Parts: sequence; C-alpha cells; structure tokens
Amino acid sequence: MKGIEAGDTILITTDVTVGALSMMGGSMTVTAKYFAQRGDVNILVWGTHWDALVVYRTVLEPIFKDLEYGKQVVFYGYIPGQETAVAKLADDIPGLLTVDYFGTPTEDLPIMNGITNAADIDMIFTFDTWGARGYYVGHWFERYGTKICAATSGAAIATIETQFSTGQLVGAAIDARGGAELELLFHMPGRASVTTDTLSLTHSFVLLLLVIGNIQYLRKRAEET
Amino acid sequence: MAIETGLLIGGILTVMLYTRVLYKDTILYDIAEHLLLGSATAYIFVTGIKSIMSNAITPIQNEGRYILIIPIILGLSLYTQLSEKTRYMSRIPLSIIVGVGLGLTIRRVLLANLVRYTQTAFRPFMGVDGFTAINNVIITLAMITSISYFLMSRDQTGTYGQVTRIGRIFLMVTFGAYFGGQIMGRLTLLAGRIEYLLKAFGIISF
Repeated sequence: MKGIEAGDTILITTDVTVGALSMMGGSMTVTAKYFAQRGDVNILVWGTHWDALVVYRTVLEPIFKDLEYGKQVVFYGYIPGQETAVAKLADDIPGLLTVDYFGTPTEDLPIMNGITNAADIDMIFTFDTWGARGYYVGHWFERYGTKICAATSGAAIATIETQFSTGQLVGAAIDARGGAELELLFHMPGRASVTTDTLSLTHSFVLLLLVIGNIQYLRKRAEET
Repeated sequence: MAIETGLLIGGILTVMLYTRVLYKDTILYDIAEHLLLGSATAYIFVTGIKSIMSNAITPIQNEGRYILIIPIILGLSLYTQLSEKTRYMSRIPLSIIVGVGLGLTIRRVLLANLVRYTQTAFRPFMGVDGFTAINNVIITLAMITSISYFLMSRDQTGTYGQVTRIGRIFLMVTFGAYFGGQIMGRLTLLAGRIEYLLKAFGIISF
C-alpha cells in the first residue's frame, strides 16, 4: 500500500456480503482510512455483489466524506454480470460504466480522465467472499499485470495462499486476523483487533470442548468394553 | 448509552432467528425468516432495476446506444420459460450466457490456474537458501504424489501404493487446512454477530 505513489489510481472492489463484514470490515476500513488520510490517490469503488451499496454506505462513505467526490473518489455501485463484467471492465472501463451510481456520466468525472482499461489502475484492493478475486486475477493480472491485494474469509485460506505464492497477489489479508494485522501495521486499532481477541477466546473454548468431547468418548468406549 | 432504533430492530430480529437454533422452530423464527427473505428479495429487485437503468436505459436515452436494446430483449426472453409454448425462446439467451461464460472461464482457468500453478509447482532445489529448498521439495513431492493418487487405471499396491499413500496424506492436510479456515470464518461470523447484539442492546459502544 505504501508503494502507491501520489496521483496513482486504485480500485476498491466490495465483492462481499454485508453479513461478512465482521471478517473483512477491519481490513477494508484500514485500507480506506489509509488512502483517505493521504488524499493524493484517486479511488474508484465498485462491487460485483449486490450488497455493494450497503457496504459502501456503511463502511466506505463515512471514511471518504472529506474527499472530493468525482475528483478523488467515485462509486459505481453494483456491477452485474460477474465474470463477464469483470472481463469486460479489464478491456474497457468507460465503455461499460457510462454513468456512476448517482447518474453522473463517466466523461464528466475528472477522476476518470485517462482511465480506459485495467492497465490504468495501479492496484486493486478486492474484498470478496464468493470468488470474484479469481476473476480479477484471471482477467486483470494475467492479461494486464494489474497488481492485486486481496482480503477474504478464512474459508479461502488455501486458495489465497496459492495465489500469493504464485505472485498473482502482492498482498493478502485473511479474515478478521488479517484485518487486525493491518490495523497493527498502520497503527489504526479498530474492530478487527477486537474481533480477533474474541476469536482467540472462542478458539480456546472450542479446544476445551474438543478435549471434553474426546475424554467423554474415551470414557464411554471404556465402559462399553 | 444511546441505542439506535435500527440496531435494536436488527438485534431483536437476530435473537428471533436464533430461537430455532437454541430452542425449536418458533413463530418468532418464521416472522424473522419471512422478513429477511422479503426485504432481501425487494432489495435485490431494486438493485437489479437500478443496474438495468444505469447500464442500458440511460445510455439508450442519453447517448442513443440503441444496440443495448438487444440485451434487454434477450433478458426479457428469459421469462418465456414461464410458458410451455414460448419456452424455446429462452434457449437463445441461455445459450449465449453459457457460451460466453464458458469461453471466459476456460481462458481464465488456463492462464491463471493451469499454466501459472504448473509453473510455480516446479521450483528450484539448488541455488536457494536451505529453508526454501526444503519448502520447494515438499511442494514438488506433494504435487506428484497427490496426482498419482488420482490415477485410477493402476492398482495402488506395492511401491506405487506407498507413493499414493503419501499423496493421500498431503490431500488430508490440505482438506484439514480448508476445514480449519472454514471453522475460523464461521467463528468470526458468530463473533461478529455477538458483537452486533452487544452493540444493539447498548452493552458496548464500538
């Protein structure tokens, strides 16, 4: 994130259900806050999940409130079409996105000057729970070399590790733990750190239950024999 | 501590949904379930209409891009599924969706998965530091033995059986990691919901 230079353009994709914000809300908040505080980076936001609007309203919009809309940040809302849309966006962004979420024509948005395809985006920050990350890797990174940082749920840990080790991702934040690590790195303690504490306690409880369950099982088996 | 009305309603609905898990099928659960389904359907419907307006109707009206009438007609013809007589018409948009989807997926999977993963799987054992060399040996070993486990045309006995057994261990470790990740994800969701409930009922304020 610190490699992004002044004047660069980044894309934040909210491919996440609002229910999963406990997993990715922390990393999304830190990313948005970092670039909002810098104020020298152009930020494009859209989502390929229909919760894009809710996620933008609840997490990103309050953070971007001091940025000038249309010049520093723009929101395109929910982009339907899944893989087809992501592939088309890689080739022709203004061709598909003719107006932003609020109905302003793309050609009237200063932030979109010079943005034509994936090569014009310096880094993508994708927050996904359902696999949109793979579409950006396949159509943006593999064809245009666009750098991608990804945050995802713990369920996708094996996939994201593979994508990271193959160089398809330049950064990865997994689940609330990844968010907490980002909060620590950027000195912005928040909800992910709290959730991680809760998780550690819950994991200890689950381990305790596993031990009790196994002891009970062994006792029962001993009684039967 | 002030309690927001929206949060409180969300908290109450969450508790209503949990009644089925913690007690049994109740009327409270049914009410919350129907409210969730109804509001989610309405939201998705409005989002869909909004995207049709911004992606098709507005460009047609403002820019005269009449070519966009074709996808609108194709989209509408999906609804011909509802009648026996007109059902054949829905095959055209369906075949386009399947064809385009398949073409894009094949291109992506070939580039991003098959080629890239194969390239990365064969890593150097020499000229790298000791830890990396060991790691690379494990990756190559895991790939060869795991693939051999799925070669069903040969009996998995003798030396070959030992190789496939190692592959099975690697697969079990992989599935274990997947499962562990799933557990972590679900527990995070639970923790997030509990945090929400505590916030909704004014017990905590973050």
